[in-house]
Amino acid sequence: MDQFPLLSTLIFLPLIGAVVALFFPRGNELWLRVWALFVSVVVFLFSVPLWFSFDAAEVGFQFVEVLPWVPEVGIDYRVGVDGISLLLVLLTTFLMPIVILSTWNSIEQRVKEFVSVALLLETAMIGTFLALDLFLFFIFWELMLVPMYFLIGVWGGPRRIYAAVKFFLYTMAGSALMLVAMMALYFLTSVPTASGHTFNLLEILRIPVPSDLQVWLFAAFAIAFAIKVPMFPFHTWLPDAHVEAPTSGSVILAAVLLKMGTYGFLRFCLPLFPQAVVAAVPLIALLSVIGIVYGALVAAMQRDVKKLVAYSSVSHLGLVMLGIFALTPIALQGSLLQMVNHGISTGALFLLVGMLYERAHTRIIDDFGGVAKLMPVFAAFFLLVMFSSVGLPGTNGFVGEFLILLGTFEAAALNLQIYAVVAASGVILGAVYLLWTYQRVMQGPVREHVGTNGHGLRLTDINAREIAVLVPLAIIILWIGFYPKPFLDRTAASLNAVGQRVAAESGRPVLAGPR
Amino acid sequence: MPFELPELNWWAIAPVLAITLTGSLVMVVDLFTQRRRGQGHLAVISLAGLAVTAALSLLLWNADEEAAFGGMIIVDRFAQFFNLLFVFVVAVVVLMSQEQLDREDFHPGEYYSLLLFSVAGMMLMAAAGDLIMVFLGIELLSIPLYILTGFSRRRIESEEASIKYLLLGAFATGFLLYGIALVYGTTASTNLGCVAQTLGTRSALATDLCAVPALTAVTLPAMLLTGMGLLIVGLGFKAALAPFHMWTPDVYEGAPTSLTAFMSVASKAAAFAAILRVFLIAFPTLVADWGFMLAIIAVITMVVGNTVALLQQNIKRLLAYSSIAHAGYILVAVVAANELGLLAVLFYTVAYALMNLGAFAIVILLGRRGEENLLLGDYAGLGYRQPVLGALMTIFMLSLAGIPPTAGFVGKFYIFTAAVQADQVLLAVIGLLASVISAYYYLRVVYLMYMVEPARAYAAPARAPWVSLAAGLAAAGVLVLGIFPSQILEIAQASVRFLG
Repeated sequence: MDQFPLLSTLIFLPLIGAVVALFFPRGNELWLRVWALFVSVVVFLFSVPLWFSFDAAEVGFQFVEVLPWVPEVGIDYRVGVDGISLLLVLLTTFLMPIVILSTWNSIEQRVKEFVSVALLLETAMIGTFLALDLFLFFIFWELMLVPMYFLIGVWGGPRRIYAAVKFFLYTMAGSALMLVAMMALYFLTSVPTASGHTFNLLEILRIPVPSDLQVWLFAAFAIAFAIKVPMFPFHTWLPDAHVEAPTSGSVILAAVLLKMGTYGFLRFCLPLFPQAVVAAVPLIALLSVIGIVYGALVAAMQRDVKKLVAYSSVSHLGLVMLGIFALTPIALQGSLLQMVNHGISTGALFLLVGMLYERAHTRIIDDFGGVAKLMPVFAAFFLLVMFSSVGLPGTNGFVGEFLILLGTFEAAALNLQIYAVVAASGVILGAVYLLWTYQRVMQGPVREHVGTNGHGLRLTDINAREIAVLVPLAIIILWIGFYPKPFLDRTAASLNAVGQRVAAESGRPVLAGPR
Repeated sequence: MPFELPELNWWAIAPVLAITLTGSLVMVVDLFTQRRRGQGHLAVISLAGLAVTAALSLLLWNADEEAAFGGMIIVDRFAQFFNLLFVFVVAVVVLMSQEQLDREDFHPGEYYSLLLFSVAGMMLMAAAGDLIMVFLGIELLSIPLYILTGFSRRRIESEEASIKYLLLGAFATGFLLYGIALVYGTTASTNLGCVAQTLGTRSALATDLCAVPALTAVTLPAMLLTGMGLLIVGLGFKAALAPFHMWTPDVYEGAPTSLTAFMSVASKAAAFAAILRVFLIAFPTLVADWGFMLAIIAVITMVVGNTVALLQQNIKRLLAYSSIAHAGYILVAVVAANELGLLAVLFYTVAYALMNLGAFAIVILLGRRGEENLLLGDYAGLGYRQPVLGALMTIFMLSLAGIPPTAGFVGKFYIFTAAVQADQVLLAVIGLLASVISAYYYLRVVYLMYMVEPARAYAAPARAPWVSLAAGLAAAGVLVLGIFPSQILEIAQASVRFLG
């Protein structure tokens, strides 16, 4: 069927935009920004048909494109989208224009390089979500590191080089093991072509991976993904990266890059190694719960708002991981939705923190006071985003967290009730530190001049551009909060299939019976 | 026994003859045109000779596989593949040398002819069907290099490097010869095919000259294993495998940069061609023994190369240790000893040639007369001072680190896939983790270029169009091979059929 190569357009349009940006003459900062915004908006517009023409009832991959690439070793260019990747791709294309708009004034140095790097990153991210060939997936997966490394290292804070290198090496070390596991899977396949083996994910899904091998391969994949998530105890790169990265880098990191880890679990670990997954549930659930509580406690102790948000990510993603490994359809759906939610709310939180920092040149909570009086619009947005992050009913966060906790509690066969209880208390801790932060920053006596020595800059409320950055996020927060059905509908079929596959192949009744 | 002259098929060594004649021609022409100011005509003659050599190799590509010169020379695609690689490398090196000949007042006549003679030695190594030919090839490869290393007469490091290389090289050749002697002592032959036949494999290369009937496993003496070990030492020295790598950093640092590029790429490729010939043709039955030895050496090489590189402050020493590490990766593919492994060796030598030549081209471009700028600190802010140079160097560094979409990544991918296929999973894991370590020092160059302000002002580098061309070609090659590796794989596949 000769259809328009929609997915390839999504992947490579930003790359073309990045290359074109390199040829802009120097001194055209405004045009470079306009160009980047234009490209990212066009990419987003191309991704909109995906949402509408996606067939929610279809379990398999849609919009599939296949081209032979390295036939000698069985590598294809193969992309496709299903219920698992759909929302994440849309999240990426939706956030990129917002990120670029948010950097309008904050990135003033080396705009050309920034624009190219940001667009290159978009290519890598979308490619990672859409790749259906392990080799292709790995290419995009590693390709993501390079622009992110530059983003942190060039435009970041004082310890940016340390943070950038740490980020790079941590992730690369994880993926080295994953690469070996991919090769092992490759040699398990057998196809009637010249190469005899293939990296095609669909073929690999068809092979039964021997039980004794599952443990090893699962471990290799899981470490790579756990570092990316990041799960406790692999999380130490995250606060460094977040604190040093520029706002745009933090937003992309939190909103999309961290999802690569959880996406990897859903896409590869669960369907490929069901027995190992079931065996690993107690361990992963334990680490997740530790992450939830530990992340929340450490976040509560932070003086730097950005670091606080960074640790809150550890906590939130712990909840997502718990939901994934509860393995019930409801928990899986909650996890996927919560991945999107976390992208929206934490992305928005980083944007808000960035706006505050641009004005005050400090992120230390104690330096602020009564900001709500000086910046009422800002405070309103902050409140909404915070509610979403806390999981207040009526916002997106509530739906995701509720589904995860419900699904986890329901996972009777895996005895996860106690974890659900602890996780729920972690959610309450989240409310504690965020509300406390709001109280200290927004309320109390007004400190008109913020700064370390008391005569810093004057705070002014956010301008129209910044409102334009935040409004789309606010709309999504409320949309998912009040009417999540269109989102859940589109993910249901694929996630149910994954859940059933795990149940069937692991031989364990992981699904709760009908009541 | 009457002495019979073996049938001499000159056509079989046509590329070697062509390159030797070119070298001699350059010498003679130089003699008569020494007074002329510009020396560009010598480069042109060299490049033209290389073109002829390449054309002859291409003609031989479709020739029947055969053993010529009484089994001394093997004519097959494997040999032609390496011939073409060597010709390409030396052509790029000739381009890269233009700037340095000028900057360091080299005498170009000798420089070019020695380079070309050295390549003749490499070609003989890749085509060797006999241990004696391996030895001759190594000598012909090495002696010009000893001289060339000391070519920067004004720098004391260059002379020191030359002497060091000569002494250690002579020592290593001694090991090689002793190894050959022990193998001969066991099998009564130095012909690779005959050795294989004596050890119990039917080899198409065995001629009727082979004298001794097959040895049985019982009589397999320790002498043979010792001989094999000594061969590894001798060849490992040329390939810069640890622990036979001690000469590498000093020689690489002391030698003129264009020559360092040549040595790090071409001698290494020649050494690996010879390693594949010797071990796969002569000792396939003993794969467990030499595989084990080489596996240990591979691990040592990767670990030593990558960890010591972390500490380097001089870009040439950094690239020297990096070249040691890369020899370790290639050795992993040799250990795998399957078809994919052979493919990987060939692919990786090409990929490595491109990225390393490119990196050295940038090193040359950054220097000026009397100011070489070889410290890593000299790279600070390069990405903004010289955006194109910075971008190219980034590509080379990422490729050396094995980050997609570059040739370096694809090469490593094949190497470690081959290792996994050969059930050498541990070796693959160690190799990949070693390349994570390597990312640290390659990234250091990148972050210096983009994230650190230069400590002092730098004059704009001299305009060097030929070197820039070489760097640009290499970068394009790195990306094309990284994104569309299929073509070169097919060629490599055709080249290893004979060995596999």
